[in-house]
Formats: sequence, structure tokens, C-alpha cells
Amino acid sequence: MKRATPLAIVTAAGFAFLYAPILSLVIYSFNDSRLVTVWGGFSTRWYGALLNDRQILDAAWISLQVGVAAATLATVIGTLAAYALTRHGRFRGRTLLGGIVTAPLVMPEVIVGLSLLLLFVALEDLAGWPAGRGFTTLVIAHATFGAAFAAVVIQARIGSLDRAIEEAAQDLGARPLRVFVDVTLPGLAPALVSAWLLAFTLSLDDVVIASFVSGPGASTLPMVIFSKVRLGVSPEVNALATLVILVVSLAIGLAAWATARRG
Amino acid sequence: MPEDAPFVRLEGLTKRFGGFTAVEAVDLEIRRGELFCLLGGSGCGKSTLLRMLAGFETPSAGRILIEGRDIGAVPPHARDTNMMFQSYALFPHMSVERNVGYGLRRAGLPRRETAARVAEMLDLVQMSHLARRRPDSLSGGQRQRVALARALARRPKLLLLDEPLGALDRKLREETQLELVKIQQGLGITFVVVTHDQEEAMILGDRLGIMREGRIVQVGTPHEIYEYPRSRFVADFIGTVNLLDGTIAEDAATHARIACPEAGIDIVVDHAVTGARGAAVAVALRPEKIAISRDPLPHDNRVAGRVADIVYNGNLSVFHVTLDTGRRLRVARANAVRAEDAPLAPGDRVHLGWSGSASVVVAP
Amino acid sequence: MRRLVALVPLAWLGLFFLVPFAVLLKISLSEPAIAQPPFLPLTDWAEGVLTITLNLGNYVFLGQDPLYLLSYLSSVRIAAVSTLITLLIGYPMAYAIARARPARRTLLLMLVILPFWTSFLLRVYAWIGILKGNGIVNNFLLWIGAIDAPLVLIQTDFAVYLGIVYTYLPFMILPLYATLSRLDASLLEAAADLGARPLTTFATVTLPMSWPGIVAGSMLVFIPAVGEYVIPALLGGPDTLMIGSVLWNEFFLNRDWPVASAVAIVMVLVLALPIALLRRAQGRDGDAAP
Repeated sequence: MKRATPLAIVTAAGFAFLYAPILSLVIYSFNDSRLVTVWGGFSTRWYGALLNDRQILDAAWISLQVGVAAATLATVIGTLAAYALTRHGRFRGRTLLGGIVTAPLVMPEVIVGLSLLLLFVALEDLAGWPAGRGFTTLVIAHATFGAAFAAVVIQARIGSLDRAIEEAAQDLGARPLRVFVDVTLPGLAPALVSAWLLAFTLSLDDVVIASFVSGPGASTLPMVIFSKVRLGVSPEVNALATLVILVVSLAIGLAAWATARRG
Repeated sequence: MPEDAPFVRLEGLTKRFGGFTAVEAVDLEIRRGELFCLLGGSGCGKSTLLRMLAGFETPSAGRILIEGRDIGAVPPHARDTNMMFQSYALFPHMSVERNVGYGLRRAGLPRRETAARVAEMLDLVQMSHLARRRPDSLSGGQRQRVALARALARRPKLLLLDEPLGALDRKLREETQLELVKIQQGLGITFVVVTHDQEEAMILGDRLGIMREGRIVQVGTPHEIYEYPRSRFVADFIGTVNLLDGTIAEDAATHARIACPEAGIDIVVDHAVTGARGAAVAVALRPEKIAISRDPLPHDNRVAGRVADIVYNGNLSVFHVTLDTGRRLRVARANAVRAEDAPLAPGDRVHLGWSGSASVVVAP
Repeated sequence: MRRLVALVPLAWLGLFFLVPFAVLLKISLSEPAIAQPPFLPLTDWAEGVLTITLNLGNYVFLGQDPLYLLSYLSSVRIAAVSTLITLLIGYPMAYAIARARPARRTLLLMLVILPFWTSFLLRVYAWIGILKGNGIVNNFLLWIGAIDAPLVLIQTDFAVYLGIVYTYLPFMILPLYATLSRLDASLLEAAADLGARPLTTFATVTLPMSWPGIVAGSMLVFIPAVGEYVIPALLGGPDTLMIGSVLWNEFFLNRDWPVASAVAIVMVLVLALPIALLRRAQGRDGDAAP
């Protein structure tokens, strides 16, 4: 047994700090008591309650739809931005694009949410679109900040791709679009998947921006959870959290397994 | 088109990146079927020149003519040139045979013909047994062969090779050099090879172009470049050389005398020089062309000095000799026997001599 | 075709990120009104004459009511202290990960990133159960007899600090790890070889070379923390003043859009310097963002 260094102790404590709350969520999701943190015996009743909660189920369905649409849009926009920034050399608007593509990453959510809402209101006033707030405005808002994250992920990947591989395809007679499809896209595939998942997760997690740009009848899952937990702890939310953690762990495990198998 | 007309012709070819001129007003002719080496240090513009030939860089000025046709406006995918990349740039997600067949599929060759050509190419580079492998499971030498086969598959008029052997270790490199020359001669395709390795350029090239700071400073066969460098830079860049500064003392039709205070003598060379009497020049003298002995020598040019240092290189020994004038010369001698009876040692007094045909006068 | 590749993201981000700021600025200069939307237009066409009324009243109002100034100061203080604590916890962790053996390094990195993929909201929520009156911490302390009555942990500034540190720790670790892992081990050996003790090596080589990571990580925590809304809303008390909550309340409770916009514009100005610092650090350090 190696002697534990102070560094190892601090690191272990740091990881305990990161994971203890998550663990507590899981454990108390199986608690029979409504008081959440007072143990009343093992039970799965809150999972049953969760599956019968129409409000949560409807919100989850909306969130999934918004997430898929926003992540897909974000990945497309992010890919185009990353490609233009890394492969087009100097062009007019490059500095502007480089600036605004990362700006949403560092802007507090309340500002992004408020300013987007004001834009939607102004647009509706001027052009009659988007009519009211709801699904469309949610997708636009989430795609916008999702695109920023996607662009960063994809840009890093394009930067590490050997440019000569694209030139080789071109040299062997492939036109630009063909080069992109044959060589660039396969090279980018892992980054595209990460970017999509990241944008999807961010969309599924956002409560602040969604609160601003959403309208009646389009409450996302985080909005419903937020209104529930503001009133105090709720065992159903613990059950939901456990399911989320389970899905994420499975997905990450699967991704790690796929990478290990390919590598 | 006449047989001896240049196959590739560069006219005033220039490439600027912002304020930096990478290639400056290069005029060059490359003959059909030859293996031409562009040789120079890093940043001399040789790769940029090659990339302009491939179409990856657009010239800032000047023209590129292949068989008399200006190809400046032709995009890379439509050029009859192919390139072998320094990193090989094999498509990592395609098998060896798909890599080699990629250019043929882009050309719309029928499937059967593509398969036949791929097989032929893989056979040429002795890679048939690994046709279904992915590039990441190949060794460096195998990747190099696949890259060559892929670049040759479209039967380009001109093959451009960017440091084709740069990533191989020394032993493999020597074997591959000869093989590359054999393939080039067998196919009769014109090759332009970029390299920073002068030894490799000498072995591969039918002719060499020496580049420096964006310009081609001398073009010639390896023999011409080595024995008749026109400038101090070329003499110094190719092989090792003693450069002695002097002034023209006598210039006749068949010989010249260069007053050389550094050596303490007037050096006689057996060729005429260009320049007025008293003009500053340099004499380039290769170490292996100087004889060294304890006894006085009969050569046209004779100096004496003391051995300062001896470097044993296996096949030859290099003597650093301090002349009586204080100047040091390097002298190389083949180690013809395993051990001499009375080998020279540091501190020994020695005589050096070389003939009029041994040295060459270059621009200062 | 080529043009389109750059044009699409430019147009999208221009319309949905830049233009909103212009609208925000415009509305911050409008007069509040009981209307739909609740403000008066800036421009007015009257008998063919365009009148533009710029109203600085909202900004004057921000300066007069001490609530706003105190909220900005309190937000900056809470964000700065949390950032410092995050740095103190995150640095040793990033250092340990960067120095770990490759196989373990991948695992540890994944453990840092994993919480990021689970819901932020749910992770903040978990602290309610831990900190509340009959929560895990109090139950435990009562059980071992360390206290007689439950401590007030939730709805305090302490809980807000804890929530911010907890939530943003991965944002600190990742850029720090990025710079520390690129630190060539032979540099440390060279320092030791030249006579530096481990602590001196750390102070003279490691720390200066990881500076871009420290700046990037700190700003990635500080900037969102200043505007944080969810954490103070769930963990903070009635006395916790944070500007994100003020903006939220102006908008959702008071329906005063112009004042909310003015609050946002001032917040952007407050954050301009940290954002510039972050950009500089990331420019110097390549890609330090997670």
C-alpha cells in the first residue's frame, strides 16, 4: 500500500465532493418516506408515481423534441462555423464569426434569455414571426448556444485532422463537396457525435433561458422540475434524477466501450 | 511537340503570403521523364513551389505550363498531376485497396478496370498481401508504398513527391531510394521530388535544383552541382568544402591564379574565371581532393601545416590541419587499410597538395 | 457554396445573438408603460417627423435605488470568493490528474466530465436534501450528538458558495488540466537538476506556466457565477443578493422590461473585463475551453 500523499487526499476528497450529492439522490430515490431524507424503508413507489405524473411526462416529451431539433440545428451551424474558421483562411467576417461563435459560451444565461425574448417580441411585432412563444422559440434559443459549444468541439477536431488528407482527396480528383463527404465528414464523425450530444444535454438541462423564451403550454422538463423543487424536496424528482444518471452512465459506458473496441 | 521541348515550364513563378515572399520569380524547365529534385533547407520555398504545381497554392505572379498549356486556373482535382504527401495523407477510414482506388473511382473508371489497376499498383509496390488492411495497422515503410501506389494509380503526367522518404529510418530509406528510381524509370513518369536531404537528392535526382530564400540558385546534374558549384552557398550546402577567400591575380584562357593570403599561396585552377584582376572570389576545395603526407608533395598547389585534430569516420578520416598562416583546412582520406604502420597524429607536421583541377572558383 | 458555409452561421448567430443585444440596449432606453409589450417605443412618426426619445431614466433609477448597486457588489463578491475556492480545490485535482498514469488519467478526466453530463438542476437540487433542517448533514450531526438542534445551512450565503463551487468545479479543472498536461515533465526535472526544491520548482516553473489555465478556469467560473440565478434561487435565502435574481424578478414579477434590460446591459459592462481576460487566456493557450 502506497502512502497517501496530501495531493492524493485532496484529489480523493474533491471527487467525493463531486459525487456524494449525486449518490445521495440515488439512495433516497428508493426511500419509502415522503420526507426524502428520513429513511422509511426501501421502496420503488416514487418511480411508479413518476410514471403516472402527466405533467412531468408531457414536459419530458417536449424537452426531448426540443433537444433533438436544437441539437441537430446546433451541430449543423456549429460544423459550418468551425469549418469556415479553420479551413477558409482569411475572409471577410472571419473575426466577427470567431467572436460571436464563442460569445454565448461566456454570457450569463439570464442575459441570453432576456435578450432573445426581447428579440422574439420585436420580431413578432415587426414581421409577425415567430407567432407567440413556444416550441419554435425554444429550439432557436437552444440551437444558438448549442451551436457555440458544438463549434468549439468540432473546431478542436478539425484542427487536429491532417489537412493533407483533404488535399490528397482533392489531388486524386475529388471536388470540394466530394472531399467533404468522403474524407472530412468521416474524420469529424466522433466530434459530430460529441457535439450533438453536448448540445442535446445542454438543451435538456436549461431552465433559465427556457423560462424566458417559452410560452404557455410549452413547459420543458427543467422548468417543471424547477417549479417543483422551489417548493421543497420531492421524492419523485429523486427518482427522475436516478433515471437521468442511469441513462447518462449507460451512454458514457457505451461510448467508452465503442472507443476502446475501435482503438 | 518536339521531343526536347520542356515538359514543365515555370515562368517568373512567385508566391507571396502577406508580406512574405515564399517563392520569388522562379524560371525552371523540367524535361519529360526525368526525376527532378528540388533541394533546399527548411523554409526555402521548395514545398510551396511543389504545392503550386499541384494546385494547392495559387501563384501570386508568373505561369506554370505543362506541355505548353497554362494550368494556373485548373483546380487541383482537375490537374493531370498527383502528389505523394510528406505525411502520406492516407485516408484512415479506408482499406489499402480503397485508398489506392480512390482516384480511379473519382475518374469514373469502370469497376473492373479499377480493380485491375489497383491490383497492378499494389503489385508494383509489393503490397498485394496487405490490400485489405487499414493504414493504421501498417508500418511506416508500408504506408509509404501505399501512398506511392495511390499517387501513381491515375497514371499522372507528373508526380509530385514531398519529402517522400522523410519519415523512414536510415536503412529503409537507402533501400527505398533505389526502388523509387527503379519505379520511376520503369514507368517513365516525370517525378518532381522535394527534399532537404542532399545525399538523397544526389542519389535520386537526374537533375537537381538548389533553392534558397525562394529562388533557384543553381540547376544541374548531381555531378555538375557537386563539382562545379557556382556560388559559395551551393558549394557549402552540398557536401563539405573548404572555402578560401582571395582575389584574381591572373586570368588566362586555360587557367587562373587566385591570390590567397589565407593559404599563403597563389592557388592555381585549371579553368578560366569571369571577373577583372583584383576582383574578390572564393576558392572551393573539397576535403577529399587534398592529398596529405609527411613528405613534400608534387602538386600544383602546396601548403604545409600541423595536424590539429583527427576525426575517424570509419570509411574515411578527416584531418583538421592548421596551416602556417593560421587558417584551418579539412582534409579527408579513405581508410584504405585497417591500420597504418605510422599513422598521423595530432601535432605532426604535414604537407598538403592539390591539383589545378581539384578546386573551383565561386562567387564570393 | 464556399460563401454559404460562413454565411449561414454568421447570419444565424448575428440574428439570434448580436441583434438581441441591440434590442436589449434599445429597450433599456425606453420608458416603462402598462402596455403589451410593457414599454413605449423609442421612435415616433408624427406628421412625417421622426422623433427619437432616448430615456436614460432606467439607468438613473439603477443608480438611485441602493438595491441594485448592492446586488452588483454582492454578486461580484460571491462570484469572486467562489472562484477562489474553486481554484484552491481544482488546482490540486487538475495537477494530480495531469501527473497520473495514462490509463488512470483517462478515467479521472471522465469522472470530472461525467457530472457535467448529468443535469445541473438536479445536482443543485441534491444539496437541498443534504443541507436542509432535517437533511443528511443535520441528521448525521444530531445522531452522533455533535449538535442538539439542527443547524441552519440552507437559504444562507454559505449554501450559495457551496452550490457555485460544486457546480463549476469541472469548468475550473478542465482548462487547468489542459495547461498542466502540456507541461513537459523534463522542465520540472531540469529545474530540480539545477537545484530547485519541489516547492521552488512549483513556484518558479509549474505555476507561471499554468497561468493561462488559471485565468481561463477562473473566468469560466466567475462570469456565469456573477449572473447565476438557479443556485441562489434554490439554495440562497431572502438576504442573498444576486443580480441574476434581481433581473429575473424585475422581468417576471415586476414586469418592468426596460429596467430588466438596463440591469442586463450594466451586467454586460461589469463582465466586459473578465470576458476580455478569458479571451486573451484562451488565445494564448489555444483551446482551453471545455
